[in-house]
Amino acid sequence: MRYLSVLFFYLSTVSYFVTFVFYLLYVVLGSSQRERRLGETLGIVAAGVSEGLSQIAWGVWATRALLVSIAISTIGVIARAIELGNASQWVKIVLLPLSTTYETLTFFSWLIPLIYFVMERKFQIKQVGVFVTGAAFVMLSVAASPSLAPSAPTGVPASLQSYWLTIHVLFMVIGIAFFTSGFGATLVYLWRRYEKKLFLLFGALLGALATIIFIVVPLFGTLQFEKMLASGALLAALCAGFGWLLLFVHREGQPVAWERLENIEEMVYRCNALGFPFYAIGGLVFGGIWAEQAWSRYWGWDPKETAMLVTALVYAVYLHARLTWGARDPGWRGGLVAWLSVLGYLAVLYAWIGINYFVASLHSFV
Amino acid sequence: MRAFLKEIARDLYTFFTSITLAIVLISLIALLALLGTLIPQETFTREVDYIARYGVEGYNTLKKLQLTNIFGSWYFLFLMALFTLNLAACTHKRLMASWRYWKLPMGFIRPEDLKRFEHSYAISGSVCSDASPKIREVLQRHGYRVREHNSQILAEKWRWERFGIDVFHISLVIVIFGGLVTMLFGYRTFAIAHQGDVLRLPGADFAVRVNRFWSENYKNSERVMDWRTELTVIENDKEILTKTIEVNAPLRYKGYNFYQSAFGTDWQGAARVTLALFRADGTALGEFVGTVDDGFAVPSENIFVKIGAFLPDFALTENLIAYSRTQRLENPAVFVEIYDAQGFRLMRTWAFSRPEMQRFWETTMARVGGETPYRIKLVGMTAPEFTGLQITKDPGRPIVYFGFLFVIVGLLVHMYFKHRQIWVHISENEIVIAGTVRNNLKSFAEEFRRLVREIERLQIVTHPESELVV
Repeated sequence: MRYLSVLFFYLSTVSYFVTFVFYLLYVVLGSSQRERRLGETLGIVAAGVSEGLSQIAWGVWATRALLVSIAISTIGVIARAIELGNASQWVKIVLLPLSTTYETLTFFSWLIPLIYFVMERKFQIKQVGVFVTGAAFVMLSVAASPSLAPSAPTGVPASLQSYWLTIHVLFMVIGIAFFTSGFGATLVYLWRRYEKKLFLLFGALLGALATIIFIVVPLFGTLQFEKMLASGALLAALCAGFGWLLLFVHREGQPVAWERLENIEEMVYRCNALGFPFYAIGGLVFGGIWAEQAWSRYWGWDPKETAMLVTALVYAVYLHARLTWGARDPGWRGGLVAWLSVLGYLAVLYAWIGINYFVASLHSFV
Repeated sequence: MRAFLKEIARDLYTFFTSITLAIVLISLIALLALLGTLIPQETFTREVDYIARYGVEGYNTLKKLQLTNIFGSWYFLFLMALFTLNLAACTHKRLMASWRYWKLPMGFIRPEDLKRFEHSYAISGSVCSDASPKIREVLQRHGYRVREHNSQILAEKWRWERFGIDVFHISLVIVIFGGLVTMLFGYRTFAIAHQGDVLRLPGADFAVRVNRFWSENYKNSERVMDWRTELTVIENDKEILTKTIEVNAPLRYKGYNFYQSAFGTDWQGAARVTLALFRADGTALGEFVGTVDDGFAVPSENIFVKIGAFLPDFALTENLIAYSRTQRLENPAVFVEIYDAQGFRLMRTWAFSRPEMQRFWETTMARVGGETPYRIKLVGMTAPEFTGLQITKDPGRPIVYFGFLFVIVGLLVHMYFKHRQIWVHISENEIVIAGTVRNNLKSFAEEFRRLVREIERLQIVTHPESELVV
């Protein structure tokens, strides 16, 4: 293989998949043990669970596998940084490998699990790992696709030759990594809260998103006044419908024991609250300073900039809503705050990936 | 009347300090911004590209709704103004609260109340007489400021962090203000320059000469490594300084900034074309050379050929406006007008270099106006290279940077510091330790446990019978 980094990225793809399987086994087999313990402590009689496989400490093995995967992709990222430096003739001494989609994806698949590992040590909620390692695996698989040309590093384009590339993108990536852990935790939170009804809610959410992408946006795009009005009404109806469904589920559902939610809610909040300064400072401040150097203005409402702002605003709403409406409220308000976290991550995905498919942007290289 | 005004002012204050308003405004701004990412905005989109994309009618609708310039539309600016007011009002309210918090002294709390704290610990046994100074030393080692009140040790640290988020909010207002200053008093232009051009700027007492410009490739590669332009500042006919600018490295002089912004071949502005001229019957009249916005005379026919425009990548919108899709030489076309000696226009047409385009044009569009006396073919073209310079004057810059600095400081303070308070009540047979942290930070439990462990290790209580109070 010509490039060492490619070898290590392929290795880490396999490794993350194995880790993902471990986490999955932990959730499927290991959690029954935990449930039983919880049941015992709460004084509820637990149903008998088959022994054997569930005796293995899958959680511990999952964390070990995660560490191995992170180690492999660390080597990959370092190797890629050196290769990119060589290809760019070391124009600006240190450049993190962040100049193409392939490089950012591989970089993400290194940093997201790393940040998750730190949060896992703190909160010990390993179910989140299923989402995080799954996401890392998907990212690496996408990066390995031929269209993204994983092999040869090319010279960094002139617009990216700046120390701010490293600073700006590193902050954004750290922010997104925290948000990713936060989103994984949000999923666990929502599952604990709604259990099987979550399928209904996510089905409705997906349906709403599909309706927006395939009906509302094209209807608006016809630019005929009546149809634009109709698309606006449809959007309002979708929001109202989802809101009503949420309220309905909250009203019909069993009250959830706050003890089961408290820790995971704390993790969601910590991840989002830690990610926000990185994302906001990296995007608004460092992005602004760099944009002034490269494009002569701090802020130009470029689509990617704007989408970043939207994301930061959604998380700002999340942080304020949690502050005022109270996340410790096990009622619908606490649930609403969690859904804001979901919305925030959707915005992250839009600003990071989605936007590239909508409009030409100054940022179109990533 | 006065009371009435006061009431209105109070109502307004309540309205603007509500976080619900903030949430609604932020959501609306986010929604409009989202729309602004889906519809290309005027600042970086040409009119012809809009028409090519949405059609004439659609473009007019968009324009009427100000959707092509959302971020300059009255409704967006109105929302931003409301948001800024809201932010300022909330900051004021919070700042008052923070000030009261800052002034609120730590006071004596009865030991039985201390025992009810979330973080609380009691050590019973007979307490040494020098317990107090020893405990004070431990707390001081951990960065606490300590004072004593009625045999109670009151220790705290990082009380000022309460202002962190206020600093952040104020800096946001400052950044918005700096942006406004730039918008109102700043200056921005884009200049296409050729070698030797001297740029003069309104209001500046100096000029800038473009000495030369060039691009560099990566070794053994077609990829461009950088574009550079060498500029010399001339003031009072004296050369002050010479600097080579490149992408990401502008020249800054007396508040003016010069950015390397574009580079290429100036097809549309200064193309030099070679045209082959034929009479309608097919007789060749020869090849002639002319530049855009100028032309050439054909003495044998007693006509003047004017070259109106050159498009490197010809395309038509639905309402038949010709435009250049890109700046690459994909489908070059030249617009030509022919005048007779009296200055009457005999004909006008587009001429192409791609033969299929030429054939298509001659068999369709050119026939609309009837037979033409001449036929023209585009046979050659050159254009000078240019360097594109973005030139700005930005009086808001220091304000924005100042704001940026405190955005970072404010957020970091808010994130990583939380006001901690510790009470240690010392009586003859018991030491009660209790602590609180602002925002109920989870990691405080760890610090509290460590502190308690260290105090226990001091051995200031004999026969300790410790009990954990939850």
